[in-house]
Amino acid sequence: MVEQDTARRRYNRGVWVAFIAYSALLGAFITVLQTHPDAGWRYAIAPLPMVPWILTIAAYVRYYRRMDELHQRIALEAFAFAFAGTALITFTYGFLDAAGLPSINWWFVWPVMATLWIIGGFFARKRWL
Amino acid sequence: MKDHGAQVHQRASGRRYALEFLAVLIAYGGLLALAGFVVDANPDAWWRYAIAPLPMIPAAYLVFASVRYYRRMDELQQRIALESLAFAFAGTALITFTYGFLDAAGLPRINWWFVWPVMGTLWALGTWLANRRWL
Amino acid sequence: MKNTLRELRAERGWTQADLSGELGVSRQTVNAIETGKYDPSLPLAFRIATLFGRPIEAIFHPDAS
Repeated sequence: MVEQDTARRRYNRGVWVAFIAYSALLGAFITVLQTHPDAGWRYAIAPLPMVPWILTIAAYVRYYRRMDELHQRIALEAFAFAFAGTALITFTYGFLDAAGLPSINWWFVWPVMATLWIIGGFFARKRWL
Repeated sequence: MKDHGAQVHQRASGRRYALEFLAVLIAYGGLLALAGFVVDANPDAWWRYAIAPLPMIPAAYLVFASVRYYRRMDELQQRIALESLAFAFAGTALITFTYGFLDAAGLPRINWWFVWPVMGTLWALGTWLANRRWL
Repeated sequence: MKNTLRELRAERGWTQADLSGELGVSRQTVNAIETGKYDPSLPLAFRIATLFGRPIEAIFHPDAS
């Protein structure tokens, strides 16, 4: 599947570009927080570092459409696994938070999701390939 | 053509899932009340962290019941289920990470409990979109 | 893929529900296959072919595009 490989390469390149753009925006965000800690508009600019990731999701959808049907299936199963795992873990931590453990920034939900996505991808690959 | 075997099959599977869902709901409610009571009565006991997540046992069972229900679906229903979950995965990642920045900027920190309502809402939305695409 | 499932079903006087019962899938899935929105898996395509006593290529045709 030459076309699929090309699509993957293009997507991977896109992720790198997004990561660089994200780092720059993150740096800008931190600078703004330090220089204008009380400005009301800081909430408006806070989500700006998400822009490259939104574009990355759009790029992933394009990449997904180029995958063959089995790779699409594997990708979907990995997401479904990660969805279920994320729901269980975050809800469990909700109880621990209520019992007294510190509340965690929602930032850290993504590392949980990504880890489960990788694990799910591994299982799905093992099942089908 | 009197026999609608497959549909009877699927309907039975759906009924079983509905019953399991109900049982899970009852068990969850009971454990929630119990854990809440015990934790409130022992606010400084170290073992309260082991008691507090007890309601997750029926919740985890519901995940397994869902997997079993999924395996009984036909191939297009499975596809729709997977697509809706993938949609919800992406949406949840975006929303939680975005709120991370708002939290850092000063908005109140939210208990991770409330991630599930976000996930559930996106899942319902994803199911609607996938149904529209395929059916 | 295009297919002649709707015509074959009509020849036998079956409803979508009848056909879905025979195939072991939901009625919505039969409809999605008939309208060409969903291409069935190979096992399901073979079940359809066996049910109507025809080869798969007599029922399913690749799109012109």
